[in-house]
Amino acid sequence: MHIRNFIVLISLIICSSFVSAQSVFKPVKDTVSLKAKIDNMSKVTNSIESDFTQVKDLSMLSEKITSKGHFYFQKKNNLRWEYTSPYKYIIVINQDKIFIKDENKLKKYDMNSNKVFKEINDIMISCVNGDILKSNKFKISFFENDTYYKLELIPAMKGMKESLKKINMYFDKNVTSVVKLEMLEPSDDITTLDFSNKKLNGTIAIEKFMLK
Amino acid sequence: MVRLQLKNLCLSSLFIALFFGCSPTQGYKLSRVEVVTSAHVKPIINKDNSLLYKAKINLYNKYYGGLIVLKQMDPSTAHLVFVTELGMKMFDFEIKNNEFKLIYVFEPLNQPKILRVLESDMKLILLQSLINKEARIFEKENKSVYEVRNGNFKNYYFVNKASKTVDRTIVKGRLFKKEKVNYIYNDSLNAQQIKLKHKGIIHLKIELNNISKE
Repeated sequence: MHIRNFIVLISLIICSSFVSAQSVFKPVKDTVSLKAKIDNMSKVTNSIESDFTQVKDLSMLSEKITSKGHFYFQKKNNLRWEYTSPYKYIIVINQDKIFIKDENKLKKYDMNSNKVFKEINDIMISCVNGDILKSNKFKISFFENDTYYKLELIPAMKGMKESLKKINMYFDKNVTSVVKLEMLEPSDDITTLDFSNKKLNGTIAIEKFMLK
Repeated sequence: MVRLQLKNLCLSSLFIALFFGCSPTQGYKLSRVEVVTSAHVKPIINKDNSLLYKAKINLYNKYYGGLIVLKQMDPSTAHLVFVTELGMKMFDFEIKNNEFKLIYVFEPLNQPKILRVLESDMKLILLQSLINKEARIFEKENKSVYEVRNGNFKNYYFVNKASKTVDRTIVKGRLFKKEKVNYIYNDSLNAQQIKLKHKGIIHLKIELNNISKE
C-alpha cells in the first residue's frame, strides 16, 4: 500500500515537472533569426480569417467574462471583430474609418477623431501582422518554450503605461501567425485572445470590411 | 377686469395642477413610515451570483458600449465594473456600506462632470438611495410606492408587493421629473433590463440588458 502511494507520488512529480518544463519560457538566444522570421511572416501574410475566444479576467473580482466570435484581417489596414457569443457585436476598421454594429444600430467614426481607438487599432493591427517589432512604443523581450515563441512588450510611453502594463504575443514555432495575445493592465486584469481554425491568405470578401 | 381675473384663474389652476396633480403617489394611500431594508425590497445586486449586463451608455452625445459586471465580494462590499466589448476596463466602482468609491477610471473618462453623473445614476439604478433610508410608504392593491427624500428631490420607487422588485423609479423636483428608471423582470430573480433616462439639461441614457455568462 505504501509502495503504491509512493509510486503515485513519484509519477505525479514526474508529470508535473514535465508539464512545467513544457510551459517554462526561456530567453531566445538567436533573436536576430526570430526577428527575421516574424518580419517574413508579416511580409507574406496578406489575410487572416479565424475564430477567436476572448477571456477578460477581472483579477480583483475573480471574475471571467468569455466572449467568442470570428476575426478577419486584410492587409493593409482592414479588421473585423465579429462577436457572436454571448451577444452580437461587430467592429470593423477600414483604413481610417471605424464601424460599430451593436445589435441593429450602426455607428461610424473617423479614426483620427478618436485617439483611443487609433491607439488600440494600431496596436491590434501591428500585433496581428507582426509589424509591432518596428514600433518604438514598446520595449520587446523574446522568449520560447517547446511550443511557442513569446514576445513580451512593455509600453515605453507614459500615456500608454497608465492603461497597459504588458502585452504578451505568442507565435507557433514555425512563426506563421499569432496564436494568442494577452493584454495585462496595471490592475493585473488580463484580456486573453486565443485564435483558432486559422485560414491564412484566403480570399475575404471586401463586404466583410463594410457595414451598412 | 373680468378677462384679467379669468386669466389669473387659469394660471392658478395650471399651477395647482402641476404642483399637486402630478404626484407619483396619486391614487395611493399613505400606509406607514419605515426604514427600508432588503426584507421590503429586493436589491439589484445578487448576494450569491455575479451579474453581467450588456451596457449602452449615451452621455453628452457620446456612446459607450460594453459590459457591466455587478459582484458582491463580501456582506458589505460590492463592485460595479464597466469593460468595453474589446476587453478594456473603463471604470470600477467599489460600493461599501452604501458608499461609492472610484477604484479605477480610464483616463479619457476621468472628468469630474462625467464621473459625478455616472456615480449618481449608478447609485439610483442600484437602489442605493432607498435601502437603509427612511421612506413614506404608500399602498394600492398589489403595488407600493416608497417615497424617499434625496436632497432637493424626492425619489419614488414603485414596488411589486408580491415579488418585492422595483419596477420603476422616478426622481422628481418640486415641479418636474428629473430622472426615470424602468426595470423589467422575466422572473423575480434578477432584473433582465434596466433603462435610465434623464430629463432636462443632462443628456444621459443608460440601458442594461442581462446576459447569461458562460
